[in-house]
Amino acid sequence: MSKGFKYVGNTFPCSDAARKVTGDLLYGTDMKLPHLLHAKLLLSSIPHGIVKRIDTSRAEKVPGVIKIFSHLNAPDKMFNSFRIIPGQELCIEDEPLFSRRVKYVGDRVAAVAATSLAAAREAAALIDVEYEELPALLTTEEALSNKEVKIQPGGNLAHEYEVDVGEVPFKAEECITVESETQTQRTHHGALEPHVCLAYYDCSGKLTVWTPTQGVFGVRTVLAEFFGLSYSKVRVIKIPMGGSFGGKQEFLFEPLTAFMAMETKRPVKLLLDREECIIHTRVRPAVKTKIKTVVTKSGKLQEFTADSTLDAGAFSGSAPDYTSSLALKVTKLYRIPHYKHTGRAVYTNTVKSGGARGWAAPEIITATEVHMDQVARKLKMDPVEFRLQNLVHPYDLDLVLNLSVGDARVIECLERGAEAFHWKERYNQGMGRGRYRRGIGAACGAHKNGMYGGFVDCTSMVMKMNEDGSFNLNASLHDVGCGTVTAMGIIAAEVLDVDPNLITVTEADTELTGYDPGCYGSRVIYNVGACAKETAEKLKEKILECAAFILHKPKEYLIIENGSVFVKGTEYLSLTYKEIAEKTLQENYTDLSAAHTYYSPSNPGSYSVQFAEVEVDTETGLTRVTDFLAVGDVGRAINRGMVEGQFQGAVQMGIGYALCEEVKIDEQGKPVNNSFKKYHLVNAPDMPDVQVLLIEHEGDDGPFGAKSVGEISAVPTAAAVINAVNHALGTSLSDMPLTPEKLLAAVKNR
Amino acid sequence: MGNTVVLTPDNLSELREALKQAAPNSKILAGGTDLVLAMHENRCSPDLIIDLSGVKELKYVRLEDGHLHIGAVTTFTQIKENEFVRKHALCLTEAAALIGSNQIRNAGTIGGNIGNASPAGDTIPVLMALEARIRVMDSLGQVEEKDVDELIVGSGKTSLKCDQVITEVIIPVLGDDYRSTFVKLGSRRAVTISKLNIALVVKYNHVLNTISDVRVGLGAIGVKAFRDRRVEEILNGQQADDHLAQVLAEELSMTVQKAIPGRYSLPYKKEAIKGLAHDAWANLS
Amino acid sequence: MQIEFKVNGKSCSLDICPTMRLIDLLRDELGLTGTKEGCGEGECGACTVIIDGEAVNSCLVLAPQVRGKEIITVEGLAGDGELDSLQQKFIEHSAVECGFCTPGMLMSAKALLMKNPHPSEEEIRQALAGNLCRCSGYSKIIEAVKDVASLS
Repeated sequence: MSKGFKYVGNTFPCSDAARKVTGDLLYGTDMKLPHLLHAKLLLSSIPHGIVKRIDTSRAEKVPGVIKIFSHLNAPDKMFNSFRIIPGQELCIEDEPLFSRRVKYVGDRVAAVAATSLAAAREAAALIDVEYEELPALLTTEEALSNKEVKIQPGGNLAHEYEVDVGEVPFKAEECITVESETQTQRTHHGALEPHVCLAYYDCSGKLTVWTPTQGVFGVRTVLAEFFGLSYSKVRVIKIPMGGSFGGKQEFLFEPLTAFMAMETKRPVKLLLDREECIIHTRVRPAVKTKIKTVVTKSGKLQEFTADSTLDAGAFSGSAPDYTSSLALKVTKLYRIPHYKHTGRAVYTNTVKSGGARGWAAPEIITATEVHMDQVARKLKMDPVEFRLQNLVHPYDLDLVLNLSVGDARVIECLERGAEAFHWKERYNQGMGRGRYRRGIGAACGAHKNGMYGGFVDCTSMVMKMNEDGSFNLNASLHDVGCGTVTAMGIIAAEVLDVDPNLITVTEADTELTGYDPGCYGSRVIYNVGACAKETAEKLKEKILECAAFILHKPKEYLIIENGSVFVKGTEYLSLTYKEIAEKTLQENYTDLSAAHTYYSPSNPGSYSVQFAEVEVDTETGLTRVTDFLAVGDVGRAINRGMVEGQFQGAVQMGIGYALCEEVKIDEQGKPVNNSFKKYHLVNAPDMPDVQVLLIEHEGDDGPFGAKSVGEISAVPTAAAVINAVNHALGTSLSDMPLTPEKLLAAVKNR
Repeated sequence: MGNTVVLTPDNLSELREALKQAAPNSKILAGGTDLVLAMHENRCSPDLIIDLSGVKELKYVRLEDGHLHIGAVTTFTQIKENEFVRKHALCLTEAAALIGSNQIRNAGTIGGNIGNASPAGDTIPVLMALEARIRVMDSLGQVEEKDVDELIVGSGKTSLKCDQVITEVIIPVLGDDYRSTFVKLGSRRAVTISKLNIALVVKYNHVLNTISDVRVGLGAIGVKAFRDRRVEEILNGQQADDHLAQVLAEELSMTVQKAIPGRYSLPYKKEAIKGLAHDAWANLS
Repeated sequence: MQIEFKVNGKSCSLDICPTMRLIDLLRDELGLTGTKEGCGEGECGACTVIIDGEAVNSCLVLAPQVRGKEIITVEGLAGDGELDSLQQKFIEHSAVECGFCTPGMLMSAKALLMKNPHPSEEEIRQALAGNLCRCSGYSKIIEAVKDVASLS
C-alpha cells in the first residue's frame, strides 16, 4: 500500500503549535484594536413573551457605557445565520438582531457597548426588562399539537421531508419486523474557546470583521445583504479558532457586532461567556427517530422505514437542511432494497438548533445502529455478523443521492476492527453477574465528502514560489484547530518535493484569498486538499517549464527531486528551486505562480467502525468506558498524528453524547445545564486510551486518496457505547444520554 | 463592585482589626474558589472583603494533646498530603483528595468549605463524623468553639456573626482501633459535585469482629449534612460482616427516603446510596 | 490598591482594582494573554497558572491574593527562546490542536512534574482532571507528559 510518500502519511505538528504552546498566538479574545469597545449581551429570562419595556436608565449611568442596543434602536430586519450563498434554498430569514418577541430563554434582548468588558457586564445586569409572557411550547409534541400558539408566523412545523427509494423486494424467505425508538438529546459543542467576534466600520464605508468562523464568504454574504453593502466593501478575516465542532459554523454574531460597530463608529468586540455559549448560541438538535425494519431470518435487510422529528428551537436557521440530511446517511451505510424516511423539524421555545459535527449523521446513525443491535438480538445473531451481511460494498450506488459511495471500505473496517478488538471472544464472554457488568458494543457510521451533488463545492487557490525557493500557498482555509493549514502544506510539499516548512499557507480573508464556501460538510481534505494538490502540480509544471528554458532541455527530460530540478540521467545538470526562481525573475521577468480553481467531481462515503467496552456499576449507575477502538476508512492519512487525534477527540465527544452530555430544559423553559459545572465534558480520568486503526486505500478523488475524517470520526461513537451498555445489562436502552439515573432505573425494572 | 474594599491582613492581630470593620454585607475570602466566582457572576457584591490568604498563622496542621489542629486556610492539597491527617483522620484525607480538581484543591481551604456551607460540601459530613469542633474568633479576639452542626444552619448559611471568622478545626484523634472512610458519588469519577456522600467512622474490635462508636455523616441529602444517629444505633455493637454491610446499605436508603420524600432525585439517590454504602464498607475492611 | 508579586521571574508592583480576578490582571493589565478563559468558573482549567509551585485556576483567584507570591504563566515556560521540554513534547506528539486548552494543560502538567517528576499514567490523568480538552481525547497530551516524565 505504501506509495513511498515522503511527507504524506507522516506526523507533523500543526503549523502554529509553537505559538500555541507559548501563548503567543492571539485568538479573538486576546485581540485588541485602538478605541475598542466591548459588548455584553442581555438574554431573555423567559421562554416566550413580548418585551414590553426596556429601562436602560440605571445601566447608562455605569461609567464607560457608550451605547445600549435593543429592538428599540436596531433595524427589525431579519437574517439567516446559515446563508452561505445569496440564493440559497431553505434559508428563511427569521432571526432579528434583537427580539421584541423573545422565543427562548437565552434569546437576545439587548447589548451594551462600553469601554471595558467589566463596565459592559455591570451595565447589562442593570437593564430592567418587563415582559408580557406568552405560553411556551417546550417540546416538539406540544408545538405540533398546539394550534393556537405560533412560534413563527407560518406555524410550528419548520420543515418536512419524505424520501422513498427502491422497492419492496419479493420475500423469498420468512422475515421478522423490528421496531425501535431512539431519542438523541440537545448537546453543547463545547469548544473551549467561547464565541467571539470583532468588527470595525471605517470612514470609507468598509466593514472589516475578524471572526473565528468556518466560512468567511458566507459571513460576507450575510453581512453585505443585511446592511446593503457591496460585497467588495465587506472584508471578513478568519482568525485563530479555539475549536468549533459546528458551533461556530453559522454566522451568529457577525451581523450584531458589525451593527454595533457601525452605530458607535468604533471597533467592537463581542465575547460570550460559557453560559451564553450554552444557552444562547446553537445546540446539536434533539431528534426522535422511530425505525422499523423488515429483515429476513438469515439476516438480510429488506425494508427500512424511519420517521424523525427534530427540535429546531426558536428559529429556522439551518434546521431544514439539517433535518433533510437525516435521510442521507443510512443508504450510504447499508444495502437496503426499500428505504423510506419521513421527517420534520419543529419550532419550540427552546435554544436554537444548529450545525454540529457530523451534520445529522450522529443523530440518525445512533438511532440506526442501536436499532441494528436489536435486530441482531432478535435474530440471535452476532451483531457484527449481521452487519457484515448488509453493509455497502465499494462502488455501490447510494439510492437516495443517486451517487456512488466510492471506494467504501466499511466492511474491511468492521472485519479488521473486530479482529483487533477480539470481538468474538469478548462478545461471548458474558457480562459478569456481580455489581459491575461488562459489555462490548460495535457500531458503524457513514458520512460524506463535501457538497458535490447538492451544493456549491469549488475552491480557488494561488501558489507562488519566492526567489529563495520557498512557497506561499494562498488559500481560503478555515482551520478549526485540527491542522487544516498544515495538511495543505503537506499535500503541496509532497507534490513539489520540498520540506513543508518552506510552504507558508494562508487562512481565509475575503479580500485577499480566493473563493471557498467554507470549512464544513467534510469537504476540506477531500476537495480543498485536492485543490492544493492540483495548484501545486500546476506550479510544478511551471517550474519545470522555466527550468527547461534555463537548462535548454525539453521539459519531459526533467524531474523534480528534493527541491531541485534534475535532467533525467545526468546528476550534474540541475537547478535548485532558488536558482530557478531567481533566474526566471531576473532573466525572463516572469513570476512563478499558479492559480487554480477546483470543482469537486464526486462525493464518496467516509466510514468509521468503532468498538467500545464498558463497565456499568449496577448499584450507582455510573458507566466507565474501559476500552475503545476507532477504525477509520480515511482513504489516506495526510498527517497521521492529527488524524488519530481527530478520532480520539471525536470519541471523547461521542462518549459524552452517549452517557452524560445534555442541554436540558426544565418545565419553565430554563436550561438546567448552563455551565461546565452542570454540563460535564468527559475529563481525562474518565477517558479510555483510544486506539485508532486507519484503513487506507486510494480509490477516490481526494489528494493521494485522502477522505474526510473530522466528522465521520464522531458518527458511530455514541452507538458503540450504547450498544455496549445494552450488552452489559441485557437492555434495549435508547433514550439518550444514558445517565446513572436512567441506568439504575433500568436495572431495577429489568 | 467598584466600591468594594478588600482588606488583606497579614497576621491575626491585623485580622482582628479588619474584622472590626465587618458589616452584614462583608465577606471572608479564604481560598476564593467560591466567593470569586459568586462575585464574577454578580450573585454576590460585598462592600468589604477580608482576605485571609495572607494570614500565615492560619495555615497549619498540628498534632497536639490528642487533637489534630488544622488552620482555617489550610488547603485541601495540604490536608490530603498531611501524614498526621492520614494517620488520625483518614476520612478527611480521602475527602480532601476527592474535592474538585487539583487546581481547586490547591486553592480551596477547609475553613472556606465549612463557611460556604454548601449542602454538598465534602468536608462537612466528615467533620461531623469526626466530631470536630470549629474554633471561631471575633474582632475582639474572643474565641469560641462550635460543633459543625451548630455552625452550619442551612444551605449556604452559618451562625457566624459578621465579625467572626473560622480560625481552626479541632479534631479528636481517632485511636488505633478506629477506622474511617469517606466516599462520594458524583456524575463522574473526578471533578464532580457530590450527589451523595458518606463519612463513616467506626471503632473496630478485631477480637470479636464487632464495631462500636459508629458515626455516619451524610451529605447532599437535603439542605444540610447530618449525622445519621438512627443508623449509628443500629450498627453499634454488631458483627462486622457482609450482612452488616447489607444492613448499612438498606438503612441508609431508608434514611434517604425519609430525608427527601417526593424529591425529584429520590428514586436515584435511595438506590445509589446502597452502592456507595458498600464502597464505604469495603474501604473500612 | 497597590500589590507586589512576581510573574515569570519579574517583579511587578501594580495599582489594581481590588476586586479584579487574577486572570484579568494577567491578561488585561500585564498583556499575558496566553492564559485563557474557557468557562470562568474553575471547571475547564484553560486559565491554569502556577502560584508558588501549585497549579490554580486564575479565574478563581482575587488579584490581592497574589501579594508576595510567585506566578508562572505559559509565557514563562520557555527560557531564553528555548522551549520547555513539555512544550517541545506537546508539539512532537500532536498534542496541540486548537490550542485553547494548551496553556492550561501545560501549566497543570508542569506543576505535576515539579512535584512528581515520574508520575504514573493515572497520576497524570488525575492531575489533568481539571483541564478539559474537546479536540484530543487527551491521549496525545498524556503521551507527551509521559514522554517528558521518562526523560529525566
